[in-house]
Amino acid sequence: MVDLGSVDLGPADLADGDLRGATAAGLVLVVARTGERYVTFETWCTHEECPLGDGWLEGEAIRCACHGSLFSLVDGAVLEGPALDPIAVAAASVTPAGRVVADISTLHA
Amino acid sequence: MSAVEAWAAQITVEQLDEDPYPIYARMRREAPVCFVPAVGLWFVTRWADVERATTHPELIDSSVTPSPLDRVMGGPSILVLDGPPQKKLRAMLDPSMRPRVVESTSPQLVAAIVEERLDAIADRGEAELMSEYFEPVSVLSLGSVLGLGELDGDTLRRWFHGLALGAINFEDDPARWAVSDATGADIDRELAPVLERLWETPDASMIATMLQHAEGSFGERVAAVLPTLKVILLGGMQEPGHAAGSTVAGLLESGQAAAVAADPVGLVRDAIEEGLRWVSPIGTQTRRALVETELGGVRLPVGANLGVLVSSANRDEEIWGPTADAYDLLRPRSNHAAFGFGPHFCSGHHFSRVQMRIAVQRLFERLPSLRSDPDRPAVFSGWEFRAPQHLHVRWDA
Repeated sequence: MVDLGSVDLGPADLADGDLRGATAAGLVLVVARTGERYVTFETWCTHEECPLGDGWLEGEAIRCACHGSLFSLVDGAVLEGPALDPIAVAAASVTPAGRVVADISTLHA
Repeated sequence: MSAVEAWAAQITVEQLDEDPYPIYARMRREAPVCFVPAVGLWFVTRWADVERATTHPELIDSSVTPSPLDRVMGGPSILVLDGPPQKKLRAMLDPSMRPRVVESTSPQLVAAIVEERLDAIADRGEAELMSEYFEPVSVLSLGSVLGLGELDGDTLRRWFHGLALGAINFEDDPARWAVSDATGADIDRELAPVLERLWETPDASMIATMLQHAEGSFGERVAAVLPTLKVILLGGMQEPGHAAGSTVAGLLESGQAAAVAADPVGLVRDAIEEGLRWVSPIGTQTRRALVETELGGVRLPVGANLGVLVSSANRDEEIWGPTADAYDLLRPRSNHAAFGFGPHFCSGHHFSRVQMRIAVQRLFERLPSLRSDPDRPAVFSGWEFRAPQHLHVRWDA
């Protein structure tokens, strides 16, 4: 079921540990898959606004390729600096038609 | 004078070197920002104050005066500069330390050094890991990335220990100055032809990159680069080797080494991050109050020199709970302060972590029965810099 406010983030075709870019509602997003979970978050690192989409997944975390900050994709917390502030992460789901959808209203905060 | 001020006035360097953590714990409870006359520094002990002191350079900057660092490094280094001059130096360093650059070249380089060192000890069934494994791996790995591949590990370790003696000489000990001054001169002499070669024939090394990003004549570039290069020789050779040693000491002391031996790949990252938190190898960062400012309930006068204790922040019960003093492999991962905060956050943290990860993982993969030597327990020492002085271990050869 698609929640009100959900946006379509493209086909659910990522392999475990992969990520790709997406745009929705004026936001530049990253869509990532860890295990069977899909998540999405804004691409900008909270340290110096490098694009996290250029980084890579380490388990359930995203590594910024610029200065190496590591953010949890469970709750957005900083696991390794230099970033001080967390990122906002929205859980996504996969529709029966194989599309990734997420309520990204929390990413606007 | 209050009771806690009177107590702080009696603290000695020897007490701090032996075990600073009970001292830091009392300060966190009773006087979180506390002047320690023996070293002439206001100790900043709580996580929140450590973060504040290192992320507000408009209030508290790095220009400690007098600083042992300027003497040891031979001039203003990246550690004592702020604003545009510091950013300029960071711009020289950061290209070589970008995570993708590190991941693309360093694992193979570090792994080769690690295997060679493990080959040398594997059949013996016992070793002193600091001098025979972790420090050599650390200095040779960084030496290679810097462009100092032709220098042997013993020379690099001697430089590292000589620089360290001066960098922590807040008590102005002439014997320490003698060693660190001689080391500085030795480094200048040895590096002169290396710098010249890397300027005339640049390669992908960090020193060549730094020289290319500096400005002016060759002499001006060397003058700009050399003090910061010595900082890297000190910190970059220390952080990974010593934190890896503390990690293994923590695992052995807490009875959790067998868990890592059973799953080195799965647990090595948690193991080293907890090691970095538990005993932060560079425990102190120095700062100076630029303006009269309040920190931890204390009004600091202009010019007050601070010892900002990331090692104490990493034991702060407010952040880490009642078991903060224990090494706990199962502690949930959370950001720690071992690499600092803010503009002076360690540029080489990712390279350090790659080194530690490979060194600790391969140690347990090749020597899964690793255990403490019951006759020679690990002994830690130091407060500005802290690590096991010796880490004697045994295994089934």
